[in-house]
Amino acid sequence: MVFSSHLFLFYFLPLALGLYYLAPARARHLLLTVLSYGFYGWANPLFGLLLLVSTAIDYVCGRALVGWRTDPATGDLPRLTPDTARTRSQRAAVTVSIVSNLALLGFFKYFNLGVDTFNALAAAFGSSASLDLTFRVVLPLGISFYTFQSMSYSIDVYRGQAAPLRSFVDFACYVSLFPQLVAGPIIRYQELADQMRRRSHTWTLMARGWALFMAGLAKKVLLANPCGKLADAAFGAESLHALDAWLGALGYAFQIYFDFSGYSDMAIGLGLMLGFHFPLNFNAPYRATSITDFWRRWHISLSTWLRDYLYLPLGGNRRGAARTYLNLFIVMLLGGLWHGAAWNFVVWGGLHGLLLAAERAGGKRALYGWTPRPVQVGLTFILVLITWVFFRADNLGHALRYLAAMFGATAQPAADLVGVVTRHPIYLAAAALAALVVWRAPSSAEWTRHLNGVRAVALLAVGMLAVIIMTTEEFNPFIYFIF
Amino acid sequence: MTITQPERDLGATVVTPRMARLFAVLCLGLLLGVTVREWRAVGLRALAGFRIAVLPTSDDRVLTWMLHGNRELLAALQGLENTLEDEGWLATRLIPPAQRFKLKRLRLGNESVYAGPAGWLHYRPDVDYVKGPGFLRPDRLLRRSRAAGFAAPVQPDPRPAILDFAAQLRARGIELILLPTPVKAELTAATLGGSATGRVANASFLDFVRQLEAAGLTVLDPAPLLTDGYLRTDTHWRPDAMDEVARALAEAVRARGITGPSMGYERTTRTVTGRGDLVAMLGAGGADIYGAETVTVHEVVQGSAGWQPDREAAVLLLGDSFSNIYAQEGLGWGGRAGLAEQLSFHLQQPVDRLARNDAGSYATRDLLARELARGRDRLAGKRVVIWQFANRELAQGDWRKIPLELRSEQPADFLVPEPGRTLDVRGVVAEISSVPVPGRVPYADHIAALHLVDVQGARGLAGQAYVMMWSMTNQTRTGAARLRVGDEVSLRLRRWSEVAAELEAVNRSELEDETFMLAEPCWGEVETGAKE
Repeated sequence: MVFSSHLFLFYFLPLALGLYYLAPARARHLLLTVLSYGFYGWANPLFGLLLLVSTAIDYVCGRALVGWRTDPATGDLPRLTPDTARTRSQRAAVTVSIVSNLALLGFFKYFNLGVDTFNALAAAFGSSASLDLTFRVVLPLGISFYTFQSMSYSIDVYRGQAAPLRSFVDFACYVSLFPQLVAGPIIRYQELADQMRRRSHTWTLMARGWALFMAGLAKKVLLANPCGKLADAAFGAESLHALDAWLGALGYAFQIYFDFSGYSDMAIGLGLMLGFHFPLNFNAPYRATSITDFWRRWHISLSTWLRDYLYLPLGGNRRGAARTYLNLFIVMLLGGLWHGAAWNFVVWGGLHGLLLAAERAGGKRALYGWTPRPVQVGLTFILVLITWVFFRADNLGHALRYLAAMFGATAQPAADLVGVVTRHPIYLAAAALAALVVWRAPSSAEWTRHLNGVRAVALLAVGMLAVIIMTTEEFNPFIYFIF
Repeated sequence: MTITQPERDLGATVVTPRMARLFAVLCLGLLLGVTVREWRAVGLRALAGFRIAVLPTSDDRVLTWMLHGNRELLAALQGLENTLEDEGWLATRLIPPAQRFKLKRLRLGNESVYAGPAGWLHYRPDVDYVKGPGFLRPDRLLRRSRAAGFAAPVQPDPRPAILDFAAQLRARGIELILLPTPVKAELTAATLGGSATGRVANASFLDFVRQLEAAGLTVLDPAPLLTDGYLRTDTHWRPDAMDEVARALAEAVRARGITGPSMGYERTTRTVTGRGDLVAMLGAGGADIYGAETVTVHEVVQGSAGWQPDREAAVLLLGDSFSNIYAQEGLGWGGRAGLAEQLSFHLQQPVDRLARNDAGSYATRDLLARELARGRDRLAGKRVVIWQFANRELAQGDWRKIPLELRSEQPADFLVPEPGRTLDVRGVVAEISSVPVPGRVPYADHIAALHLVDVQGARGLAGQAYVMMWSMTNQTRTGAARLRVGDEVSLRLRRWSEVAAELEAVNRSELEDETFMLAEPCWGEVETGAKE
């Protein structure tokens, strides 16, 4: 089920909101959990079973970390103190949580890549050995997100940064919350711990939630989808002119941004409707002045997760310059692998890792950091755009061919069939509007902060327009659903 | 309560309490208003009719049962979602004017059709085939061969299937002539608004032809005969262009020594005015903007009788909608004037025909295999088989190998009515083949196959049945399309062979199990008075 669908908007959402506010407070987490499993299981009921198993393992690990006795006064579980040494069983519990989550992620996400890589290497070395497996492992929706989220729970409890949840229902609710389950934001347990216990429901939150939801829906339907058509036309071609290649790459850069940030806005908006505050996930990333700055603004929940749970434990910048560059490279490489089980994603991550290391060597500034700010923004965007080619292409070979086309180093097509789409006035207009929003408009969070009559009418108008267009278009899932 | 970082990042909302309440109530009110209309239009009906039935499988392992049940549940959920979306209040009110606006003002087609200048329309999969990656690229073949989600994987490489088919025919002394038919975008790219002269082939096509010819196959590429040979608003070729192809085919067949006394075929000319299949796919607004086209077709007759395929003929044509477009009245461009008819006329010899409107990569081979499996040797006496398919199938089709085995046994207890009679039965749907979505396929009609179990008829008749039924007519789903596993249905059955002449060419999907290949199909219609 996707947010920008008929089923979600006019069947699931009204039902969810209605039942949530009619239910007594103590039953709301159970209700949300049931609704969330229904939302998730719509794509495949078996995925729901997998989610339940993963949730159960992490819940037990969380309980094992602090023991099974509750505070008789509050009924809550105790919180570990940060500076107390951990016992062997506590270390074992957090290890089990991390290993089981990574094992799930590893198997479902990377099994096929492992088999394919083995076979490719065997063929390359002239060996007849190959894994001739007839089955392919299907990737459960959102597994990359909820495994990271569950791990953050165990690690935060282990570190003493949050008290564990006593109730399994509450924990299951935290993991499966439908607004953020399949494509984030990755919500660290410590960010939500207090909200699971107490949160308020006000008209202001409901209004802000609707404002963000409609802004996100508009971004997805009115900007991401038409820009995506540009990208599909260009990336789906055997050969293309350089102009079309650049238009396609630009289309994808806009598509992925508005698709993902639109989804995040909708998720945050839905959270507010239910009284939750989710972290922001984007902060005008295409206005970044360097790659370092870009990663402070893009998919913030993932980059901070990687920083806190991977980069810092690896040593961060505390073990000398060379180790710092290596750590950055490793984190981005793994970040690329997190996005997709294919070598083009690894290359994408590796490129960003190299760029980050290079900027770190230059004092956390871009190599062009001495240029005027608009130039820095432009050059950073071009670098990001070029790396997106690896992200969007079907495979490494396709990415390299596409880049060659961008720089005019491929045979020109016999007919301008790609231009039929890439130079259609409507799609060019959508790209121009997208550019305007990216570089001139305030972010959704900023714009919806001040809700006056004019903005309310504008949001209603774009929201309704988005619904109309959504109704007349085919199925349009969110890009990050595949990660 | 302490303020969390997310709250700080989002920032306190600056709004008056009155505006907050008004805005929230307005949003909720609009949502509720549309929701109520949706539920009344389709929601209640669809949810009331929603059910999942998991019939026993032959494998009693728990895991198999779970996977089987999960698949059934997924199919039911998808069907429910499609119904809610396609038949909802918003969809029925918004889609027609939106389509008109997109076409008239924005010159935008839809997911299936590109709208070019000067009234030209193109089928999107055709354009994707032409401009897309070479269909023989190893990475492309690998990608296509991977199953998407839980869908069955396809066989993407056409070469093994074609060579295997040719070898099976050769073993029976039959020669295969391949007729890969260019799609419109290959030869009329300029009408899409792009700049091109001459043919624009997929990057792998010429290499594909070279490889097959090197393997000893005869490939007749009709591209040189088809310049300016396509209908403006339809996927297919013009009748005069098709006639040139038929003429070339006749020469190729004659060159193989297939001659005989003239059968006295004659042609009568008729003018037909029709609307292209692409106009139908555009939905509302298409007919307002794109007028009808007029063509001259040549109906082939023999004496006072219209042309019919002859099972005893030395030539068999396997074809898709390109072969059928002027043969099947239901396609809107006349009848008895198709490729087989013109070939027959130019040869002055009878021709046999097996044609299906889509899936040229395997559908007609599958038809042939089923005929043989049911004991009808369609290859007896054949010397040449001509296999015509649209070139887009090379990049998008399922090129599974299909064994051609002549069998004689019939599976027990599959009910078949007596010749010339109908049979009223009641049964439970155990399986139903896939049904296309109206508006997303280039044909208006479709037949689905059902496996009925627990069949009860009059006078104690019992058993199971393999039934063909209309699932789509004139781009509208029938009641049969909404049947789900576990549904009880009352049908009037007749032998399929009694309607085959009229319906065999209609696009259809069949059930894959080998048992059904052997079973004699019935033609089913919902019994009058029974619930559809």
